[in-house]
Amino acid sequence: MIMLVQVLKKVMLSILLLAIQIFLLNRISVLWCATPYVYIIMIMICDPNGSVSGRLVSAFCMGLVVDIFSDTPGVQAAALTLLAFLQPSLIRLFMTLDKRDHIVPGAGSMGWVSYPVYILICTLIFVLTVALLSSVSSPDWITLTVGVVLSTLMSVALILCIELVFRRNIRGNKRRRFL
Amino acid sequence: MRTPLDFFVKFRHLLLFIVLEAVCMSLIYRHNSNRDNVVFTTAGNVAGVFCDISSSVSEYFGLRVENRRLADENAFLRSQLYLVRDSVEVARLEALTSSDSILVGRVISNTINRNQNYITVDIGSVEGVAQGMPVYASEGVVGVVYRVSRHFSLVMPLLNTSSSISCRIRGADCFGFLRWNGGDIYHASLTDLPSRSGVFIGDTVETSGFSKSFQSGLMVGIVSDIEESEGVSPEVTVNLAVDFSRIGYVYIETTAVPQELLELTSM
Repeated sequence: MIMLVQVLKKVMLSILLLAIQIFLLNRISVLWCATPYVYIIMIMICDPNGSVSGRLVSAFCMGLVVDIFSDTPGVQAAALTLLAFLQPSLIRLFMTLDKRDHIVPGAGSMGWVSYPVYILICTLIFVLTVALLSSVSSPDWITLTVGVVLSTLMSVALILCIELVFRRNIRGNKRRRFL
Repeated sequence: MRTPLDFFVKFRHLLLFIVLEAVCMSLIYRHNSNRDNVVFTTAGNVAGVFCDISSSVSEYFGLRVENRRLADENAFLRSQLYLVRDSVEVARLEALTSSDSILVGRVISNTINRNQNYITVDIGSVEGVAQGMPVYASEGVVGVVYRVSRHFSLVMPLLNTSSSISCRIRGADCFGFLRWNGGDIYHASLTDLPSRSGVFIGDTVETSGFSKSFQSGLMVGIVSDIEESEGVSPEVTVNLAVDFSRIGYVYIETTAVPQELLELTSM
């Protein structure tokens, strides 16, 4: 029952983040080439010892939903699936994992030095893949580079804000986690 | 003993990853090559309905600006009407307004931050929209209809690196192609002009009428910069007439594009 509630919570949160991405963040265009992405946090905070197939399929589905509303079929789905595939290896760069551990990546488990770097690397991989797949026919390298750098910085800032506001909601000594 | 099944079990995650990536690559390829496919775009029925609702909400907050724009356009059209009232143009205008050749569409989705930008409009094949039809706003040319579903249309605007429209300089006998290179949404380039074309900053760029979609004389923009080199085509920068970041409604001219011409130009 507790497991079912947790899954439902994750599904609801994914829908909320997808709605924010599609109807709000996709309309942001800094210097006409940069857009922040926050829904990718759902893949970044997956348990690296959890179901690999589940993570890959959910990443594919989430990416495809955003693709449909962005008229870029396949682009974000490909990038997010790649991120989901690489995620456990990226986590292992920052912490040693035991196969029996149930780990929720976050500032609490990884620390405030490793976690932002982990978020930065994950976001960079995603944004770079999206940029390369989107401009495969006519790459403008200057715009592409500016877009990747700005999109990554904005996304990392937003994801860290979410971490601060929702995932480290401290009341007295009790730490509550919403994500 | 190792069997193929062992192999699949051992590498099942890698195989799943490869399959999903292959599906993505196929979607990307189909989107770029098959113009009849609207399922995974905002012109699809499900995504279109969601975009329609979202657009209705955001449109409510921009009503004041939209009303102002419509009032200005109304004033401009009235002034034009007074000019032609007593001339032979009246008969032509009456013929135009009595027909159903121009449809008004509401923009429900619009991107400006990519190389391949698209605009989704809330009218489709049921209303009479077809591929290749010209799309414009009150300020000037927007683009052409790229894909059509029953109730929605996907428009390829000038702000798409695949777009190319034949244009001319008003009052001069020189023609070129308007192309957008990505990035700046207010400017595009006019290429393939003759080397001694006599273009000046401030000249008006309009459609030439050579394209399969657009009639001649539709406003595209104003020349804002020229870089000339001896013996080669000048690099002309055009300040686009339409502000694509604020586009709310578009007109689609439903004059049929001959199928034979579409097939010939897509070969």
